[in-house]
Amino acid sequence: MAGPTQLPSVRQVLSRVHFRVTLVAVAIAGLTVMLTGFAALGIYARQNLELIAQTASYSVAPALVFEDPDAARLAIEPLAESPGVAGIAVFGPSARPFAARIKSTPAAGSSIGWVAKSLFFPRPVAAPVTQGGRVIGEVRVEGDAAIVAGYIRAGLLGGLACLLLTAIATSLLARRLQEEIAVPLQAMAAVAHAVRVGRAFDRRAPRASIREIDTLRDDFNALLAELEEWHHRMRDENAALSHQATHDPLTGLPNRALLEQELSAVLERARREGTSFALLYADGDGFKAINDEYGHAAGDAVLVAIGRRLRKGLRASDVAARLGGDEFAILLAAPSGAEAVARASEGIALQMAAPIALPGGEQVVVGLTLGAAVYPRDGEDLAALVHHADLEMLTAKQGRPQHRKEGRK
Amino acid sequence: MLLALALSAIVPGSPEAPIPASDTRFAPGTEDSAVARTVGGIASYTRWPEPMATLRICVSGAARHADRLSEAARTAGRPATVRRLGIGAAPNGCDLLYLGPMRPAESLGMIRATHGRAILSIAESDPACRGGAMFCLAVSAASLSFRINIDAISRSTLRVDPRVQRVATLAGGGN
Repeated sequence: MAGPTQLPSVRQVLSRVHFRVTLVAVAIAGLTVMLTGFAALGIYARQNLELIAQTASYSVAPALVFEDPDAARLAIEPLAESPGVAGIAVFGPSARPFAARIKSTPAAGSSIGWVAKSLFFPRPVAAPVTQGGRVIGEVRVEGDAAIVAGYIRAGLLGGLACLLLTAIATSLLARRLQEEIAVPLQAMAAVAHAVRVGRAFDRRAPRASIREIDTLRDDFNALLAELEEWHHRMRDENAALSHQATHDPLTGLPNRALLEQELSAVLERARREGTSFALLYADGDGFKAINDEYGHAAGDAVLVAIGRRLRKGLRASDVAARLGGDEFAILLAAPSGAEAVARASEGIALQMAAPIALPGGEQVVVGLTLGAAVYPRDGEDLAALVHHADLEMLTAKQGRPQHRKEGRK
Repeated sequence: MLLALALSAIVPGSPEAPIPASDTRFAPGTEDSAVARTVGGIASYTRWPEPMATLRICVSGAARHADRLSEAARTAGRPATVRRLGIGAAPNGCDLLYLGPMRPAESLGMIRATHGRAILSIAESDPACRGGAMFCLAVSAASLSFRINIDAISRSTLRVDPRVQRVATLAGGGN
């Protein structure tokens, strides 16, 4: 199968088609003109020779009668000089010519001249010489094909010139057509390529000056618009799906998977840059009891509130995540040490001190038990850090009061 | 077939050669036949006012080459009769008057007698062609030429084909 480089371009195809059509036209016209010209010229040349032969026969007759070759030569000399005549010979009763006049013919040497001569004057034109109705001799006139040869040569040159003109004209024509056909097609191809390679869905093909191509362009652009819309929808859906996969639907906080991902990245960077960061684990106090007492909707409200409060006071680079149930985790991005942990713990305690409004109108205060681990002080890898934070939280959990009821209505 | 080649070998091509006088060559001893042929030729290119079946030739004077004049019939294209005419006799019944050598006065008289009549006059020995004859022969050992007297021809009722002038040498011309 031929590759794109082997395939001819629109311009080449147009040029080839034009050239062929024009070539055929020029060839037919040229051939017709040439052949008609040859035929007419041949007839005229022959008639001219016959006329000259008759004239020579008439004027040479007395010279033959008086047997005067010099007079005969004088009589045919001016006739032999006329164009189209190569020579004139006068024959009396004997086989030897009585008088003759030969003109040197330059065309006789050339091949075209030879062809023309053998085509038009294969043998000399003869006319009888009469005296008082009696034939006393014969005049033979040899034709000169120089004029015919000139015509053939001019015809061939003209044909060649026509071919050259044809080539130039078809090239120009092809260039013009190319601008009208190939350029818009190439623009469309460029847009298609940009869309395929560069995902440039906002590109559109420019207007074309030919109806079919412009229709094609319209459809192409409409297709591109659909493609762009489809592409955007796909991107949005992908983003939504990816958000769903990495976030907790209830609180909107990142889930465990995303947190672990973030943790790995932060740990990597901290190791590389030699900075420190902190991981906090938080667990709701007496959350199970709220669920049991007020229902799952209340529990959900509490979780949402906790999530919102945890996010408050954090920097953009910090991550608050829900690990599951009433377990939360906070990643304090580098540089964060023990002070940052203390500050965050205080902030969270302060936030959680405010009561949470339940859907049923009740208000509860839910405390959070925290456990922290600081890299690299409390562990060199994730497992160690998680374990440290978890252990600290469990330790703190011992003997912690459960949630407090804030006055029932 | 290739006439051009054949002819170029025969003709010594010198287009600038001087224009020769009329010059009919013949084998030695055939002067009389040559004269008869020339006379017949001149007659064939001459038109008489009345068409005639026979060319009547009258010979006068001491003609030296008139013995075979009856042969003129061949080139004249019609039968020919020849009879002698005494010097000074009226040229009755003559279509062509062949004048041999005679005294200028006699010659003049005979030519005057042809004036106004359809008689072609040919002088045998008047190389300058001043004697008043229409045609004058010049016979030498191996060639025969003739001169033409345009004035005499234009005065007569005869019509001579202008092509003959090309062959002839004009009387009084610078030739």
